[in-house]
Amino acid sequence: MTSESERAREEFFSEAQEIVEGLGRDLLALDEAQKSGHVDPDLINDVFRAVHTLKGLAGLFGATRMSSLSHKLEELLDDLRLGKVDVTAPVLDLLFLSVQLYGKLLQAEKEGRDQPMPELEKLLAQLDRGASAGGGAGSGGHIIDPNLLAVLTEFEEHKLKTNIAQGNTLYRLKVRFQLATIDQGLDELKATAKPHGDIITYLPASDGDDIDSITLEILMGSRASASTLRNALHHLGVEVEELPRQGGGPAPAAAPAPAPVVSAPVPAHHIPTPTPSPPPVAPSGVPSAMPPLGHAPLDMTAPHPFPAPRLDTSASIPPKAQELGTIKSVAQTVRVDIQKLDVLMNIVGELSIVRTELERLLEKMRDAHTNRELRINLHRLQRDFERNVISLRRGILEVRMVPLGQVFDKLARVARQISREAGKQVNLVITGAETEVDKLIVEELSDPLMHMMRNAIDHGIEEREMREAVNKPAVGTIALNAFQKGNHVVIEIEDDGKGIDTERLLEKAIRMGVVQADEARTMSRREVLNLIFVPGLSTKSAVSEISGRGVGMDVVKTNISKLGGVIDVQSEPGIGTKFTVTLPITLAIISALIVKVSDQQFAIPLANVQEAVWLDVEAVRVIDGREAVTLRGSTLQLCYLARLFGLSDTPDSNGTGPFGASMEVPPMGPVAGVPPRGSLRSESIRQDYAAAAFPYRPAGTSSPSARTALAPRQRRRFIVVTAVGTRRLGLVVDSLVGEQDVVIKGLGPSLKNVAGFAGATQLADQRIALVLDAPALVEEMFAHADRARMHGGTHGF
Amino acid sequence: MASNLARRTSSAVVPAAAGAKRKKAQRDRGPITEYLAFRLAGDVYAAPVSIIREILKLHPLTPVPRAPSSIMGIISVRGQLVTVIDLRRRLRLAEGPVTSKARILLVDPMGVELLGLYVDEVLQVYRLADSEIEHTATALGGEVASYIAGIARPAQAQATPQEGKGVALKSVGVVRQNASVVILLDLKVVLSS
Repeated sequence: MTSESERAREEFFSEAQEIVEGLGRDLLALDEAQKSGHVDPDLINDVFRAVHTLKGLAGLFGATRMSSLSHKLEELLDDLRLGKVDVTAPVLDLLFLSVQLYGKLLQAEKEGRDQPMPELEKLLAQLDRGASAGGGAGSGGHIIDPNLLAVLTEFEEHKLKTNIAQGNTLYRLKVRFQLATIDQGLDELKATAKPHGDIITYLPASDGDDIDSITLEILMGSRASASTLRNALHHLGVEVEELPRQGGGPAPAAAPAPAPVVSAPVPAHHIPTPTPSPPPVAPSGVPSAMPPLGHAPLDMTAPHPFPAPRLDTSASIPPKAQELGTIKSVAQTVRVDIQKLDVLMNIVGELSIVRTELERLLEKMRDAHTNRELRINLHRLQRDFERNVISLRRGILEVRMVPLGQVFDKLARVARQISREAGKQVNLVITGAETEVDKLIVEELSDPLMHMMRNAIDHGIEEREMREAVNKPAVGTIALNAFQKGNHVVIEIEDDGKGIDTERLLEKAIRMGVVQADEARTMSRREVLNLIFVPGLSTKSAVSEISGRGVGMDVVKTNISKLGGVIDVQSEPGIGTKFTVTLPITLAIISALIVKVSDQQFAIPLANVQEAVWLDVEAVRVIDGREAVTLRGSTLQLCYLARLFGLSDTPDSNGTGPFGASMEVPPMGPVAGVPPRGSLRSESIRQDYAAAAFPYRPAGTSSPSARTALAPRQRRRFIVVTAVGTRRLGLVVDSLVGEQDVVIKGLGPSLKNVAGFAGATQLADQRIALVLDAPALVEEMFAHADRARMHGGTHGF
Repeated sequence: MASNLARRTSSAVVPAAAGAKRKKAQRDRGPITEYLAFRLAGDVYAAPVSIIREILKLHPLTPVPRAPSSIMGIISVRGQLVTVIDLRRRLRLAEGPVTSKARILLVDPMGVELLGLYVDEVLQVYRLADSEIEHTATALGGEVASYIAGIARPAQAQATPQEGKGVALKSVGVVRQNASVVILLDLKVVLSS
C-alpha cells in the first residue's frame, strides 16, 4: 500500500522524532551542566549536530518551517559553541522551547496541516535577539573516553563530569562483599564514603573464583587524599587506588598505559542501587550487551582553576572515532512495527502448541511399546525443540523492551518546566533509567508519571522560604527510581516535600461521604493515604485547595491498573511523599489465575486478583439488592460469573434457578482460605473470614453438622477477590485451575461491544480461555448497583 | 433450457468436445464468477469464492458470553483469534443438528476482520455467468432481504434427478439434486447487519 515516497516520509518522521528526543536529552544535560557551573562544549556540539541534521532532513522533505527554525537555532548554537554567547538559563529556555516546537511542527507536518504557528514566529524573533546578545567567554571542557561512557548511565556520566569539573581526584576502590550481605555492605560503604566524596559507579569485577562473594570496583571522585580515604575505608576492607592521570599526549593510545578504570568485563547492567535483590553476578549468565571494555583509559581534560587532571584541551576524541561511532549506531538498530512482533509472538504460540502435541504423541508411543531407540531420539529432539521455542519467545519479548529512560527524559523536561513555572528549585535525581519495559507500557506510562511529577512539584515540594524555615535544603529533591523486581518493574517518584496532609484528606473524605465519621476513627494512616486515589479526593483539591489543571490521582491509578500495575503511596508529614508504581515487564505475557465457571475456563489477570477464598453461601447477604459477604471487616460485593455470563449454574446447585438463588442453596462447607499458589496472599484468611462471617443465619438452614454431611456432594465454590483502585469485587467461580503465564490476544471488532473481556488466550491444552477485564467488571457491577438503587429495585443485577 | 440439457448430456459422453463447447458458450454468456455453494438448513447458498480464504473443519469453539446470539464463539486459527458467526442464525434459518460435514468458512469481506462462518456443509464451486443470475427484484419482486445478491440456477442443477444420478453425481462426488436454486449471498450485507 505505502508507496516509496510515503515510506520515506514515515522514515523521515521517525528519524526526526528520534533526533528531537535526543536533542531534549542533550539539553537536559546541558541544563544540569549549566547549573553546576560547568558547561561541556561537547554537549553543545551534540546539540549543534542534532539541529544540523534536522535542518538537512527538513530541507530534504520540504518542511520549510522546520528548516528555518533549525537554521536560526544553528546560528545561536554556533555562537554558544564559539563562546560568543554564554549558556544561561534564558538561552536554555529558548532551546527547550524549540524542542517543544519541533514536536509540534512534526505533528503538523505529519497531519499535513499548515496552519500558522504564532509561537514559532515569536521564537524565531527571540532567537535572533538571543544570537545577537554577545559577551562572555566559553567554558573549558573535558572529554571522557566513549567506551567508559557507554557503560555509565547518564546520571553517572554526569556525576563523573561534575567530579572532574570540580577538580576532584578519581579513585578506584576495590572491595569484596559476601553475596548474602551485599546490601548492608554496600549501604555501609556508601555511608562511610559519603562524607569524603561521591561514588560515581560500581561494577562487578571479573575474579569470580568464589561464588559466594563478589568483588566490586568502585569509581569515586573525592577531594580527599588517597591516604585519608584509605584510613576512612580501611575497616571495610577497601583497597584504594588513585587513578593516575594521563600525561597529556594528544591521543589516548600514546599515553603511558594508565590504569584502566574498569578492567573487568562489564555486564549489561551495573548493580542497580536500590534493588533489594542480589545483583546479577553469575559470570556466565550475564549477557554481554555492552562492548567488552578491555582497556579503557579515562581521557579527560580539566577545567582551568583546579590542580586537577589537566590535559591537552585541544585534543578531544579523535573525530574519526566519533564519526564511526555514529555510523555504527545507525547500522545496528532496526525500527520494527510492534505489530510485526505480535505476529512473531503468535507463531511462537503456535509452536508451543505443536510442542504440546509432540509431547502427547511421545507419551502415546511410550504406551505403545515402540522402538525404544527411536523413542529416545525423538524425545531428545522434542526437548531441543522445547528449549528453542522458549528462547525464541524470550528473544521476541526482549525486542519489545525499551529502556524507561525514554519516559524519564520527558519527565525531566516536564520537571524543569513545571519547577520554573512554580518558581521552585528542584533537583531531579534519576536512577535506573536503563531498566527495560515493554514498549507499549512505556507509551502508556508517560501520562500518569507526568501527572505524578507535576503533583510532586506543585504540591509536594514547599516554597523556598518554607523549606528554609524548617531547615531543609532550599533546593527540593525529587528522586525518580526504577528497578526490576522479578517479573515486575518498580518505579518510584519520591519528593522531600511536606508530605500529604492526612487530616485534611480525611476531613474532605468525610465531607464527601466517602468515609463515615465513626469509620474514620479506626482507619489506619495507610488507609487514609489511600483515599487520595478516590475520585474527587485527589491531592490537588483536597490538600492544597489549589484549583488545578489535569486529572486526579484516581485517574492515575486507573491508568496504571489498565496496564496491570499497582500504585502505592507512602508519606510522612514534613519529610516527603513516595509513590511506588509496580508494573509487569510486558503486556504480551501476563500471569493469570485460570478459573472454571460451568466447565468453561476463564483467565483473570493476577494483577487484579487480591486473594481467593471459599464461598460460604450462608454468609451471603443481600444488601440493597446486592449480594455481599463480609471479608476481613469490610463488605465485599459478589458477582456470580455463571449468572452474569448466562452460563448454566453448576449441577450441584440443586436445580435452583439462576437468579437470586444463593440464599436457598444448601450451605456449603465451612469457610476457609485457599491459596491457589504462592503469590496470592491468603494464608491468614482462614480465620479472618470465618470470624468475619455474618452472625446472622437465614432461617431454615441446617445445623453445622448437617452441613458437613452434605459437603461431599456439594462442590464448593470460590470467591476471587479482584481489586481495581479502591473498589473490590468478589467474582464467584466454580473452581480454581491454577496460575499460568498467558499471552493475551485481542478479540476482533465483531466482539468489541461485548463488555467484560480483555481478550482471550490459548491455554496449553489448546483450549481458548477468555480473559476477564476486571476493571470493566468492577465498574459495571458498581454502576449496576447504583442504578438498581436509584430505581429502588432489589434484584441482583 | 434445451441448450443446457444438450450440453450436459454431451459432457457425459465426450468430455473433450464438451469442454471446447463450454468455453465457447461462456464467451457468449459474459464474464464468469466462481461461487462456493454451501448448505444451510437444507437450502443451497453461495458466496463468491474470491472472498473465501479458507475452509476449516469445525474447531472446538469457545463460546463468548454476552455476545449476540448469532456469534457461536471464537476459535484460534494458527494463533489468530477468529470470531465464528452462525450463518443460520444470522439469516434466521432453522437449526438442525451439527454433523461432521459442518465447516467454517474464513472470510474477510470488509477487509477489517477475519471472520469464520458456520455452514452445515460445503458443496461445490459453481462458475456462473452474470446472465445466469437472476436479480431478486425481478425474480421475487418487492421486499427481498437485502443480503440476497441474486438467485442462480446453475446449468448442472437443471438436470432431472434420474439423469443426475446416472452421470454427474459419480464423477464429481457431491450432492447436487437439491441445488436447483442457489441463493447468492452478499456477505458484506449479511455481516454488517
